[in-house]
Amino acid sequence: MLAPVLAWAKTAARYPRSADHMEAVLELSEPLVHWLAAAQPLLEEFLGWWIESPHAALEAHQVEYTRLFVARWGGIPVPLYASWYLDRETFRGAAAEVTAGFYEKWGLAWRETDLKAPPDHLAVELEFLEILCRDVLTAPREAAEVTLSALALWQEFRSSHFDRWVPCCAVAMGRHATLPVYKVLALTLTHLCEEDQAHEGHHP
Amino acid sequence: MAPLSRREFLQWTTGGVAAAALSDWVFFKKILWATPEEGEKLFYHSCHICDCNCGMIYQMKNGRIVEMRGNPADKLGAAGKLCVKGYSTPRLYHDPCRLSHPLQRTNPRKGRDQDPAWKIITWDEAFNLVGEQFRRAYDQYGPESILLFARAKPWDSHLQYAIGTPNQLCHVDTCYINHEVAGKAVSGQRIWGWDFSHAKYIVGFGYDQPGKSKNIHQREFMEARRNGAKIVIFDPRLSETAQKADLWIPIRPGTDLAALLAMIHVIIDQGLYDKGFVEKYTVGFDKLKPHVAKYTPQWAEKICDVPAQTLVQIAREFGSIRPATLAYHKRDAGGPVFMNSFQTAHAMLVLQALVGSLDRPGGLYFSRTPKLPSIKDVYQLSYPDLQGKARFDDPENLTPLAFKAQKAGFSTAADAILNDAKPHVALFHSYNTTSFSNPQRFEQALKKLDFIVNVDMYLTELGMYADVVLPENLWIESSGFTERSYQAERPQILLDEGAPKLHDTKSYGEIVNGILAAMKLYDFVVDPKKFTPAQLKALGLDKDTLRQAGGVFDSGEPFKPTEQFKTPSGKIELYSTVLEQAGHAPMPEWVEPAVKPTSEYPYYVVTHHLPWMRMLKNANDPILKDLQCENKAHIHPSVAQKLGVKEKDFVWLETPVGRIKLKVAVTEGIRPDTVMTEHGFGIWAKGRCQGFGWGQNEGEILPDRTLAEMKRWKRHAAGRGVGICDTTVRITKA
Repeated sequence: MLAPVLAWAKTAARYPRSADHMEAVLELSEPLVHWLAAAQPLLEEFLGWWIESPHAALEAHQVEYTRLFVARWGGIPVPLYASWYLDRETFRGAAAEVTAGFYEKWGLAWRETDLKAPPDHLAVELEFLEILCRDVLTAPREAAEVTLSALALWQEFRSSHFDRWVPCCAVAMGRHATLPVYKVLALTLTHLCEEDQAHEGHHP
Repeated sequence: MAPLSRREFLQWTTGGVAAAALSDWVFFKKILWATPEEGEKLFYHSCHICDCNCGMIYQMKNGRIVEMRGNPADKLGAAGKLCVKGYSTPRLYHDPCRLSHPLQRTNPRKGRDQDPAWKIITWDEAFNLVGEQFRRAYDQYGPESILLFARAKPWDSHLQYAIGTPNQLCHVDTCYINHEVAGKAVSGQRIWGWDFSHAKYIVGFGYDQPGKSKNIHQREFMEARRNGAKIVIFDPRLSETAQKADLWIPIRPGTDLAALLAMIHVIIDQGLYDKGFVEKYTVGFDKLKPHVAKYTPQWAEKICDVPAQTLVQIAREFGSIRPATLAYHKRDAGGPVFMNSFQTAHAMLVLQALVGSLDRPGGLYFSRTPKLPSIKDVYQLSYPDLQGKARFDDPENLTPLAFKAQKAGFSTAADAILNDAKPHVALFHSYNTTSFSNPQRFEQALKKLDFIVNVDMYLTELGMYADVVLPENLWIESSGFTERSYQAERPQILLDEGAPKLHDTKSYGEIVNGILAAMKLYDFVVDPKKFTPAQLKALGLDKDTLRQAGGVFDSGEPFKPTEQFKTPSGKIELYSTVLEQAGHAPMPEWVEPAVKPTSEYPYYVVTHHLPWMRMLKNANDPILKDLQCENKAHIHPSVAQKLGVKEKDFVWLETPVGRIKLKVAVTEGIRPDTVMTEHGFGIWAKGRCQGFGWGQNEGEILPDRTLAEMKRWKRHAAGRGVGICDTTVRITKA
């Protein structure tokens, strides 16, 4: 259940470069509305806008993403990486190093993309969780330096890292977002962290 | 907009082609074996926060700078020690507020109250946007419609020459232009070195480089102190340098020229000049001697508020204790501080020559930089001819020597743009509106331009007016080498090993070539990666050799004093034919500063850079912020009493240009007719999240110049210096 939700969140946490990206945000959202009912009216609002005026909607999302997460006339209100929250507002701080260690435990290496999202970027961490959920059987665990079960790694990653910063990020996002997609992303992150807290031992 | 049914919504959300395309692993790849933990790696670089370019060594671990220190092999520079500014580098590298992607403005309205509403674009999109706008201006209005606000560094000059615009504007009007123009006119070269450690007598006029934590100056100056040199500092305020001097002389602002002319008078009148040096290496002494006869110490006393006897004593000591030198650099009294400061810079050179310490041990000297091939040489380029292309801001050839040095333009930029139809588009490379005095007026000029591109590392105040912002690598992310120019008594270069880039940024060489390609100026598009190896090869070096030598190539050449000077006569010209032919005064002569205190504006104003601030380059460092996050109005206790204010009260400083509100700092260390405030504050562009809101920009009360004013000052302001403090202020309790 959680893997598609994580896939949606990962997509929403990436820069909406193109119309295809916006379409993907919509196409991946079906499981999300089952998991988080509050998302549906907001996503419907977004879909209506998208159908009516895709060009304007795309640019509005690009401006909103830039304003919230990258560069803004009023300072960046919601940096999307862990180091900001855990390492006194730095970029690529110790938290980035910590995440790379987790990825390596599952036989994965962080790969730099064209937008150079750091290893502790929200989208990267969400993809890691998605992989743990989705790809337990095929992940190349045998090559990892330390072999852990997906569950143990999930729990360790969540409790020692992800859940230490994502709730703060989600609160800031909820406060500053003006477009439905980012309001839904904030709700999703909050729900994800709260759900895990409510169900101690819950696994993907 | 009609509401959607649940069915319609679900039809859209069932995972189509776009979702499939984006569902693969984006950020990960499999590793087939465990990688050993990355050890710490050591790299060499020179610090680019200021022009001292101190050698540094830094260590990287897992993508992070974990240690930084001075490079002990850099004997002419840091000698193993960095200043506080250099140590801010790791924090700048990991600064979350650095520009990370090219940005395009989506809100066409511009102004301090306008959100540009940026969106991220790709580099290709950015180059296409810039190329399209620049090419349109190039085709419709000619290359001169393109303004380049940039330093005369290799890639900046390549862009200028390739486009073929004469209009490159540089900040040096607010920096060292007077010294540059005076040095080249009188002695044939720029003075960029100082040998304080061997001097026995040092006199400074507004000189406070150690107070700005200029590492090399500081080291040299303190060595002079330890060696027992006598040090005299003329300054309206008790600067950090003045505090370490034997004698502080609180001279009236804008009158250093009178004191210098009086010293020249005494040294000539009493026969204290170095006769051997003057005879062998100078021309024009016969004209200088009668020219300065009128500048007696008694005459100077009335102007500069320094007792004649004090001036006589200092002149005598300066003329008789050898070697004696002037402490000299950038924004001292010969910098562009007052409209008569070019004459001050000129008088300083003449005085230095009279005591025989120009380009001699214990004195000031020319830089010995390595002979390196230019971009034109390396890539065998043939640029369009710029000869005869008039600059848009110099219709009557006001300051030809300043333009020849490619280092002028800021002082009159706003006036020229507002009153000339030629400029249409502009590129700003690492310049900010706070680099200008009277930025309010400059911002009006920016609104007149059709298109602005800003290349920088931060979203600055200038960026707020840009249409496209291109993020440049932080200097420590760039590789190559740096020529030592400060204090280069022999050729020296430092290896620059770039740290991994943290963002989607580019080097300026890449940016320039991207713009030229987008402008379809293909003849000038080159591979910037070939430039450094070609230059090193010309010196018989490569990166590996430099690395093995500890990151520093030191030629070890012994200092050879100049025998033949690069002037028309081959000598130091005490009567400058170069200045005369350009329409300027051939010998330093007294001229009043532009403004004197009045009943309405009764106080002088002077400025200072704090030792931990490099203008705004490191203004986003959270640790430096803790040291002092606001500038203050430093006033004498008698002024505080008159105004009825005490320490930490607020006052307004007001000039005809504008007004700023500052906290009061009361000090005995300033003249009662003068107020001092620090430069480097007043950030209103919220892109710099740490520095935003600190203090006030003192530039908002300082003047810029009109072309008409420059015309009136042609005889005396050969450097086109802005006369940044040539205004007076009213102070009122806030």
